[in-house]
Amino acid sequence: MTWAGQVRSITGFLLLASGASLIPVVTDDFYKIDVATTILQDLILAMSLRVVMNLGLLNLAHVSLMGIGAYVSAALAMRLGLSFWLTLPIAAGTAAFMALALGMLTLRLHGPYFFLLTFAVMSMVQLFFHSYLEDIFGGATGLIGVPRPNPIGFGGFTLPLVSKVSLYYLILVFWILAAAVLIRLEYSRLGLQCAAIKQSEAVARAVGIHTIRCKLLVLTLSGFLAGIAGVFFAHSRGVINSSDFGIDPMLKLLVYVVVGGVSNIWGPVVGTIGFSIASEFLRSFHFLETLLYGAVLIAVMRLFPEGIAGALQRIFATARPSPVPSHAAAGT
Amino acid sequence: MPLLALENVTHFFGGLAAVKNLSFTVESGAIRGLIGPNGSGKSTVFNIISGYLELSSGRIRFESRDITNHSTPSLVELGIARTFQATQIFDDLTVEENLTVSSQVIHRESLAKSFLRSALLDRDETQLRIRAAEILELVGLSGAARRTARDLPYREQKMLELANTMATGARLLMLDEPMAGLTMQETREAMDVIRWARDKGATILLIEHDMRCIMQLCGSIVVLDHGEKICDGTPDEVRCNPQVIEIYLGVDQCST
Repeated sequence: MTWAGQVRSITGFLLLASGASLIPVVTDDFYKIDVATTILQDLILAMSLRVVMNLGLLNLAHVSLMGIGAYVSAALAMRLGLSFWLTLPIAAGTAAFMALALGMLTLRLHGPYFFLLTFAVMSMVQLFFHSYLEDIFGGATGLIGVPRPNPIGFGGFTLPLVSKVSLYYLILVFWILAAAVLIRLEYSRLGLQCAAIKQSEAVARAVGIHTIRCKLLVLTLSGFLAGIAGVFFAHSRGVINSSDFGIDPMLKLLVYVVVGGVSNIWGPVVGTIGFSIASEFLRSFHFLETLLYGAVLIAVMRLFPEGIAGALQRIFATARPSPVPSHAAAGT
Repeated sequence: MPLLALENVTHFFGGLAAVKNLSFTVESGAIRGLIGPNGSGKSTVFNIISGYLELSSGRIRFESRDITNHSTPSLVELGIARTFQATQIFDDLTVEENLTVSSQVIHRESLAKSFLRSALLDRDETQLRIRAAEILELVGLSGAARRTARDLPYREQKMLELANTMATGARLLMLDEPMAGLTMQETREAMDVIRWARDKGATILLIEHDMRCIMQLCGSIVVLDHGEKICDGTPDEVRCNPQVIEIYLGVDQCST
């Protein structure tokens, strides 16, 4: 947690964002733009999952928070005709609230109990959208015909958000905002408190950190971001189904984060982009996808338990000369 | 008014009373010892005061405030911090980061504010920086500020734990065997650190098995056996108490 680290992270994300903004300029292949859109949406999900996992909380209901965002926004738009720009904060807020409620129910549990309970919540949420309130959430069919985001108007000028390219730029903006918030978290006092909690909850409490409050805040923030990704998912695809928010997409996110590396802010970025691009090249082996995910997960856990980004960081850190010991002591 | 007062504190582990009807006070500015044979309940008393265990009955007061069953973080905010028998530090953070985390409690910031502030101490926090530097200098860790805590030798890890506790700005420091495993020279240095903390305005409650240390440092000592107080007095009174000699000290040190 040094200034240099913070500057490196911000620079890296700015470079990545500028690169991403050029994709529709260099290609007009809609398929590639689709893939890039999905990657950005998954990046929001994976990065927001990572901050929770970094606290030692394996939240299997993360995908349900995305689902809540998607269903709430789609239902409000379709049943009540509300604008996307109104349903977005309501739906993301609902996801954040559900994350907070989940945290209040489960945060006094540790290790496998938290994980098992969130697994149960994930199944319940999926079942709820599948079988209850069919008039609102569409039951087993799901919701079909979710409207595209409403155009943005600046005075007399309006920007329609219908084409694939415009949707791509919308998710790019969402991702940049989410990344900004998460980088801020990483290098803030709260981030340092989170790092402390991850190391030892008992010591963190012993130096006065309100560990439960910290975890609740991070979980709520993570839920809000997952909700935003869900809202975008619903309105960009136009079709949602309860199976979009089940164990399969959850496992995919988990593999992105774990293989990339939980302890590093670049982990989910490396994992998501790497896996998404690799799976494009392996499309002809699509039937083997789950098997490959499993194999890579096992290999990474055996070879680099801190994930690919963590392993890279370690290699670069040993290659660089160690910093001169500071006599200025704390706080420089 | 004493800084800390325990009134008839009792704690049961199942049917076993680990601490029975314990009352004692710690005066502000004192170095108070807490001794007794293994299993006599010393660490349980620490765990109760610092909010890791709930009382079965009784009351604890800090200054005029009733702090019975407060949570650990809010006790630290009030000014009670502790160390552990088995050294507890943030292993993967640097020495500097350890102290930064530990001094955060002084701000009592809301979570929203701690999200907006950088993890590094700001330029305007000169006081905290000077304080942290002073603590590091004192415990002999100035040169190790950028090192990862895990890589430090045992003595320095112990000193870092003590430094973390002091960095919280606590007015009551509860130290659980700070000298355990230290050489005689290191013990003398640790004693100087404890005296320095007292001179800076902290009050100390100390568990220690090194009797020479306890007798030299403490103005008064509480002796526990099977969770009950059997003696409370000056080092000389404790040394000469027949019951203490029988169950703990073993030899009559009265004349020495």
